[in-house]
Amino acid sequence: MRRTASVLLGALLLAGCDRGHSDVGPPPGPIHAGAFDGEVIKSIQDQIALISAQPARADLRRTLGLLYLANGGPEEATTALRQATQLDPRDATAWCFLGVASEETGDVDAAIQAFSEARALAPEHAPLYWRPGFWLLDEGRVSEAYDLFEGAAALERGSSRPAPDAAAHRIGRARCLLELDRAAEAIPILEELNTLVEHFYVDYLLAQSYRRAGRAADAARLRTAGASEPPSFPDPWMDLRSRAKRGLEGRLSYIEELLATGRLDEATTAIASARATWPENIVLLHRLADLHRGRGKVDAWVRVLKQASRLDPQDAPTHYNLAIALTNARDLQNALTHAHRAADIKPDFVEAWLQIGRLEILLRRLDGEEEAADPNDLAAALVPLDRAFEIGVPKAADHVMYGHMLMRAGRLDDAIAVLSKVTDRIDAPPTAWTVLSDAHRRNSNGRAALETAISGINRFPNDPGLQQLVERYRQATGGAAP
Amino acid sequence: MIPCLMRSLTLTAMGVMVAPGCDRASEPAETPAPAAAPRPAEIRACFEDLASDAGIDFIWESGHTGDFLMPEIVGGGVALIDFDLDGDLDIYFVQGGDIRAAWPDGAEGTAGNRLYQNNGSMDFTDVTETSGGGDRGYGMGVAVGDIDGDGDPDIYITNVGRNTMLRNDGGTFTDVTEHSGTGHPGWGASAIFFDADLDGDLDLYATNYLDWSPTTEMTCFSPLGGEDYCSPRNYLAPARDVFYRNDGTGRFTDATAEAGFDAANGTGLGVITGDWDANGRPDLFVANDGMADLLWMGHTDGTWREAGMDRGCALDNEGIAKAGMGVDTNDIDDDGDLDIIVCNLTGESDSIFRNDGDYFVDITGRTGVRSKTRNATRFGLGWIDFDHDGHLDLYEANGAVTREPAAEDADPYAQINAVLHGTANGRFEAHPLGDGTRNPATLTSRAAAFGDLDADGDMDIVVVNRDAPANLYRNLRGEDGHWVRVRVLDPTGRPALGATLSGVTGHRTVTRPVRRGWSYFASNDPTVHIGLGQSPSLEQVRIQWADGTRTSHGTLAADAVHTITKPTP
Repeated sequence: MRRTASVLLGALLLAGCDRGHSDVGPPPGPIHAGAFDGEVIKSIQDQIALISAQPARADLRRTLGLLYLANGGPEEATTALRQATQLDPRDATAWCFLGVASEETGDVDAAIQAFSEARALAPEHAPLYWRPGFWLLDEGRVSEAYDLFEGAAALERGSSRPAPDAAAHRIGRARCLLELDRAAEAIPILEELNTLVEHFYVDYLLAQSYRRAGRAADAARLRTAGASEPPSFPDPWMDLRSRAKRGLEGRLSYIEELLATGRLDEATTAIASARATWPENIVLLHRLADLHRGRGKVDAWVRVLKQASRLDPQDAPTHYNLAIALTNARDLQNALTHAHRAADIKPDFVEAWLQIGRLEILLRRLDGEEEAADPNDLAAALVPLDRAFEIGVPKAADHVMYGHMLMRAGRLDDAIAVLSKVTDRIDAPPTAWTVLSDAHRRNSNGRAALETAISGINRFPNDPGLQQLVERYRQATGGAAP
Repeated sequence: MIPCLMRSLTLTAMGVMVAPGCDRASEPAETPAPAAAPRPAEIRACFEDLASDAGIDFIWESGHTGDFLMPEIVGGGVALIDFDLDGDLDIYFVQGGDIRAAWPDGAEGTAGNRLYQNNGSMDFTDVTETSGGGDRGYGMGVAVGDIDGDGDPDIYITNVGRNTMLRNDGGTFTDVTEHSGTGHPGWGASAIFFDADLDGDLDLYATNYLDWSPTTEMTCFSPLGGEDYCSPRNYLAPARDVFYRNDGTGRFTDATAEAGFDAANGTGLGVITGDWDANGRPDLFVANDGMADLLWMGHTDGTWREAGMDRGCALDNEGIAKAGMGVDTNDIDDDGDLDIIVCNLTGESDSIFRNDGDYFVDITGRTGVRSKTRNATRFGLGWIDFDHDGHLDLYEANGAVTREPAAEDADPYAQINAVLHGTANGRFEAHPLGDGTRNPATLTSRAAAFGDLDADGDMDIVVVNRDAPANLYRNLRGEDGHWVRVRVLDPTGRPALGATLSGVTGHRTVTRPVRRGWSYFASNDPTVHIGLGQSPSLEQVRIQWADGTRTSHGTLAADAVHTITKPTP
């Protein structure tokens, strides 16, 4: 009797499921005609056809949702993924992607709710805590965000080894504390993180924290820079999304992601797959070149870029990249030819002019014992550098290199002007002070030389070059210098 | 909660029943009207577009014919300027045209800029030909200021190619670019007049966007397929801005290097000034497109040093160098100093940087602005109390820079503009009507200029659209609260740019800057405007002038325009 009842119950449940399949509705087509094309739309159409044949398959709808999500259709993704969660409410990944898609459509509350469902199903998956934590933080819901970051931290504390995404909850907690004007409490979290990872964003947050805690000198010691993308943290589930990217742009994006994270084997496969469809695409060739560079295969790196330059002889970045590759292969003369080619094609290509300058320095052997340099060689190397700086060079390190060359060529006023401005910058390296001090010395301004060295040592108290310099002045003045 | 709600309803109902009974006991009973069906609360519009009725027929022509030339997607600009000194604001539009024909010095055949004279009551007449204001460069932005101290406002136009200075001689304009020495040949973007050295005349800072020419244009592709406009990052060619020092007579000297502005370059699109560190020297904030924003801090030695990264407003709180476009400064938290807002690209929210004295804090998230602004590319921008409830609202003119999915015959760059309503708790709420109008115009908007065009006390808006008619939005919400407008002038009668006015309304002390250059490629009404809510006046009015001196001015009555002139030392 009990067995019969059990069987009947099972049948009813199945019947209920069947009703559920029809209730979730048809798989969503693109909202905007023409929004997707090429390989993307074909993949979507193929997936919709599969779903039409098997409408009860939650995984097929999840895949459709991922295709939309990965290729710029978050609204359609939301519909498909909601259907997937209705068909299989126990699929934590579907809830997770539904949350991501909802957030991308601007519906943060729905995203938070979806992640709550996902967390209930997969409470051990830390990204399900920190990802919505950042969304809540962005919404100004700081205490809720902090609780979620704490949840991720608790998972790590309960584990025997550091989590790959350990930075996420630390950055999240630190940002919460900064939002709450509790910078002093954020500092130890970020200082600890700075010992675990090396990333400009950690430096940036730490500098902000120091400054807000009244420690401006500590802030000034950190070199910070900007990025074009927000920091990302490892989340293995998101690889499914990346893999769902289609079309040349999508595949390039996935390849770049793999290269950036050092997953070179997977990148090899992905590049080969993309090149089967787009064999003569220059950008793909550049990524293949990046792959060879990553593997340290300089010859292959050069070969691929030469192939790219044959395909499009007028592409300045190709010639520039080839110049870099040839420089690494120590084929300096050919590197110079291609750097010049890049600058000829694109006369305002700052990096090309800089590279010409660097190559002139190497070819004229100006990188060795400086006093032995021929003034004509120095002047010749400065021609492309002058051109680059006329256009505008962003990096402080390049300004130091330029200032150094100016000094060696005897253009002391120019050198002092360039280097003085570098030392005002937050990203100035210690060598800026070393070289500037030397330029003042050569300009017979011993006082300015000493003041520059002291100013540098105040900024970088542990820099050996500056320490030596100050010591030299101390000895030269019989210990009178501070 | 439920018992309270029920009690409240019961009390209301009793009141309604009892009161008429007391007053009208001896009157004959009337037949009660049938009860109206309950209606949802009506959503009130903020603005109505009067452009065509008002005689404004300007279209910024990108000149796009097939090739994707970057300047086509960036312009154009607009200024609100009382060029004829008759007391109302006229409108000056900067025109695009054919970039190849216009490059590098302007050319006959491009459509030319347009000047519309305000006849009052939102009625405008195109007076371009008689005024001589029609520069023919491929125009981007515009700045307004009295460069020669003769009492009328002059115009500086940024072009792709040589910039142009137009001197106003009592209502007609003369091209004095050569004489003034301000014809920078780069790709000019936003420009701003300010008294950099506090010597009493207006100096000029002009941002440059890219080191670009038609011959260095590139081919870029859309993820949707086909060609499209490039990102500024593709060009690898950020440009250096230019700073001109005025000798007092309208002749300028390029003092970029001498002042220290050559220490960094960028892709500058927006610029504002303010004394953010309260040291009595004007500072500048430059919004760069895809690069760290620049904060030039003025020092007492007459130079500026870049401190954006140091002071925490170069990047957002995720460390991202966003695509900065429009920018504004105002006191959002009533602490007496000026904060900064920058608007950015789709996918990147606005950034609101709260000024904490020694540094800025990115408070975008806690204002609720992040999720409400990141789904559009915003350009024109105004932090203004449109509805006079005492809280700054936000208007943003939007339009994409790369193609988005759209119907075949639709503008693939068009996006709806946005109004965000500022609230007492410091957060902003999206207006239910999107752009605040009954008939949203989904266009590719760029510059937005703000001012009281109909002299009714509230702030109206002019929006420039790419290849579509400009909008002239009349404010419909100004009567919701009281206001004051204050013309804060220097001893010569010019707007005292760089001063701040503060006053007490209710329990709050509000501070507003005297500013003319804000938003994107725009010049605005320099009259200080403050919404007062239900307060009948602005009390304890004080002005901190650009040189750091302070004066007190008692109480200003609501709903009136006041004039305060800086006492002569």
